[in-house]
Amino acid sequence: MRLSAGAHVFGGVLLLFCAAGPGWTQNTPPPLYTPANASAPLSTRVVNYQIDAHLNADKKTIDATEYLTYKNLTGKPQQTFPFHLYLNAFQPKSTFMTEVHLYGTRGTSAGSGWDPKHYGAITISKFEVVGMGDLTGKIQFVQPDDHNADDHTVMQVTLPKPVAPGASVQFRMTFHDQLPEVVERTGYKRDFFMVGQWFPKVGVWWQNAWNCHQFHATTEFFSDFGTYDVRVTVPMNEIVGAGGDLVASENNGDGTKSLTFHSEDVIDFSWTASPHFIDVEDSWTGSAGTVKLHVLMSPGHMASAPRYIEVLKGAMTLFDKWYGPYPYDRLTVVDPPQGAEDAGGMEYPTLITAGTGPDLVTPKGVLLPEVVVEHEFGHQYWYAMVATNEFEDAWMDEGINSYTEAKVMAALYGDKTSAIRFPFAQMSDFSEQRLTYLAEPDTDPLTRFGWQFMNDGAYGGVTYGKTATVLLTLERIIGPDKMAQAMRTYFMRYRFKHPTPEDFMNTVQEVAGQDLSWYFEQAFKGTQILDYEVDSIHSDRAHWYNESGSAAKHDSLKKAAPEYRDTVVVRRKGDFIAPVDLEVKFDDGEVAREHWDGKDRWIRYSYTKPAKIVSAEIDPQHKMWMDRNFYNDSQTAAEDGRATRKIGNIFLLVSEWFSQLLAYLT
Amino acid sequence: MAQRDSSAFLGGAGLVWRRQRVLWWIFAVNFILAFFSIHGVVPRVGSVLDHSLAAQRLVNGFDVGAFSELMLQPGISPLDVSLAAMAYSLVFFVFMLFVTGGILEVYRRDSRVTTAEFFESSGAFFWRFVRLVIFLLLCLIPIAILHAIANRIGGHIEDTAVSAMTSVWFRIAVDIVLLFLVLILRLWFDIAEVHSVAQNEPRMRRSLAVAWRLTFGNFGRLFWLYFSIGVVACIGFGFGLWLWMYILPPTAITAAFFLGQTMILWWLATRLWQRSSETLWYQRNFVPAAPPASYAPAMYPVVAPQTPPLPPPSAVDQV
Repeated sequence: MRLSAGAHVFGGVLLLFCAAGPGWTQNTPPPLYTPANASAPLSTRVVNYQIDAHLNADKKTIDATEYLTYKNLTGKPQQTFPFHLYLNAFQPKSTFMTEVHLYGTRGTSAGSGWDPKHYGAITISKFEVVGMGDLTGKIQFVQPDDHNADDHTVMQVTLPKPVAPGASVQFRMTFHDQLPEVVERTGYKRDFFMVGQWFPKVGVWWQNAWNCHQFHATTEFFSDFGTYDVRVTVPMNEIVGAGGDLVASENNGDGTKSLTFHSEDVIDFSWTASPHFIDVEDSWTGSAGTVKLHVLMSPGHMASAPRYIEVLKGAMTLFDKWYGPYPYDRLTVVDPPQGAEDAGGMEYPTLITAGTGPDLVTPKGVLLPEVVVEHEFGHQYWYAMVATNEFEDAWMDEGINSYTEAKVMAALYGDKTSAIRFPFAQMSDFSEQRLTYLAEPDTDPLTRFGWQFMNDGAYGGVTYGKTATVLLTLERIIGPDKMAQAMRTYFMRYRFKHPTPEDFMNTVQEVAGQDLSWYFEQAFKGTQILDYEVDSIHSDRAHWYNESGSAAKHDSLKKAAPEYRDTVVVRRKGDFIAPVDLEVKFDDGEVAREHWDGKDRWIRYSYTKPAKIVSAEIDPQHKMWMDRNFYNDSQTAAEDGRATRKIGNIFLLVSEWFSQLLAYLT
Repeated sequence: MAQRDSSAFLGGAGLVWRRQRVLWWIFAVNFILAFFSIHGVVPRVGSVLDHSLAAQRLVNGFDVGAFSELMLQPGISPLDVSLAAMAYSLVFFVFMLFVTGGILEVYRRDSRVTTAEFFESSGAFFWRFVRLVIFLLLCLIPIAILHAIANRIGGHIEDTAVSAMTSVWFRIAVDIVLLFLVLILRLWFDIAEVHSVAQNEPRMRRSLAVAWRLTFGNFGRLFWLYFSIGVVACIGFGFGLWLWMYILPPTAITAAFFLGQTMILWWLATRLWQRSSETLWYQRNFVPAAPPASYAPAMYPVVAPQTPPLPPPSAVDQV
């Protein structure tokens, strides 16, 4: 399609900037940066962001100019463009804050009041489209999800004329950020800044429509791949970390410095600043090359630095081996300072935030710092490269990542000790995921849109714990090798794309070579509970009628070994139907193995043999992690009260000690 | 004075040993009440675990995930366990409030008392000590207010201090100071109780006033006596806990039971050690003012044993 005259002018200006090198003036964007060893793009680069931002550390504000070049690859002319304005969520009447107050969220409990220090906003003072003029007056706030007119987290602008398919359009925006005190991932605390979701971000054309949801209490983000050239101007004493390569650094001579970052084939750009960071540098080499690691530690947390690095390198090695290469040349880990914990546990492309307490309160036997770092690194694969829609399919990044988190932690720290590892107490990360699932096992299906869950607890329980448990069960059903192959195929096929749930399920089915629709319908799209129980076991004398009477007097009968009629009844207590195995052990050493399709509500197995049942166990290979209750999966004929006495001991001790503490008042 | 203090420290231990019937009775009541607090929940635990192969995760080691899943079973929730424990703890609290008078009387006399005398003492001082507990709770209110204020200041420091760790150290320092305040409060009231029993003092405000003078007039020595026994208690309890967590095999359930009960006995014994040391210190250091005419003597005054006069020297001795 023929380019317009305006596009020609724009192209010339762009070339001029590229030729001029890094020199630039205010209100012009940082130039497009081309790396010396540039390789072919990894993604379809729909967007290019050039942002020039100035941080006012005293007022906690950012003033910025953004040039967004959008390539219309939708196949249709586009005239209306939606943009995310995430920072506007931090206002009392927003949908986000209303939902937080009603249902709670990751860092805030339901019923919490509004604290003015958490006010945040992004204000666009100028919106221009190159070649189409100033369209500031055309900005409209829209609310596609709940029609809350006070919610300004999505704006849209209708251009005077459409952008043809294949053509590019450049938006130029001048905006002002008021950062909140750290709340829900973003903001400041004292002189620490975590700057995420801070610029106007265009929506995604996905499945033949614009996908640009409001910011909800239980949703995250969705955006297209592209390149970022971002220049941040900060006070001289700030140490800056960002999701991009530092390509230029200038001392402005007025107490500030300007740092320019470049990033390619990513879906977002975030940055952090603090005068107190201690930069612990390291590196890791994988199949795609060497990766520079920057761990920006906060004072008082240095004991966690080696823990972060150890788990990070272990995770990078395993992800590289299991799923595919990490293609970027850097990774930054940010350790938020005391009081800024809300900024922790978050992922951005090539930048993650960890989270730990002061050095004195993070025992090595509790692998929480490791779990957090591993989880956030895992998002580099399941979110940053396989860029699923976090609004609509939260399980596809959080849940898949929770599953791989548990796998990695088990590989690095032991099957049974990957979350808690003391001599006197242990727990695996998979157990932790399962507990999260058991807290809310049946409120919502995995496939529900993120903001439509019953509440924050249900969202967390289902998208994280239930999904991880569902995937572990799936792994046990199709076999670990097939599952590993399926995961690798899924990653390699859909990295730098926006896959759907069907893409994932179809990939798994394809690799497994079997019809798994029965499992997907129930586990992913349904809320059925899986619970099988050994209802009863009996061993009764087969010839019970010979206990008395003349027949008992016959010598032949007296000499024969007694025969028993052994029965096992297995019940399906939940509505989830799955085939299960049963293993019955007898006191003569024999073992009977049965396979039940699980469709009926119960089934009875009977055996006549000169032996009694010792035990019956459903799912002896422990495939069904989704089973709601492991304790009723087996029954033994003999009683073993050791576990009960052990628990009783603990309860007794706690009760006695608590009584004596209370008596301290006397 | 120092010699007297060290003898009060060791003498108190000896007194608890000599009058160990008190210790064993209280331990027995504590054990029985705690047993009743769990007797509803343990059978429910047994119904889940005793015939399940999954229970092995709790026998061979201690799988926190398995324990957490057990707590999700109907009737075995942490709330069920806690409510029962709290109810029986309240009963023990009232029991201790009742018998404290009797315990202090036993230590004051340092001689065998009959059961009737013990309960008579306990009953005589019960309502006085109820009033003392009310006074104690009132005294705790300012400490709670201080704690709340300190929390606010800590929050302000967290928002404004240059160093992120300043608020952490501030909160730790505040907690230590408040802990000492609580200990000092407890010591003051301990002395008030000792004085009440020793002088059969019916008026608790007067007891508190005397105890205030005694405590803060001899603060260093008295607080050290009290605090050092507390440190010994924590060391012993911590040692027991360490043995349980790191040395005992996970399947040694009977040994764990006896170790646990030893720890509880130790904790109780050290608390009684504090009471007996305070009583001894009081007897050796407090000289009561002349009582008013209407003043009633101690319920059971300590009477020195009468020794018969020695016989005159005999002719044999005079060789």
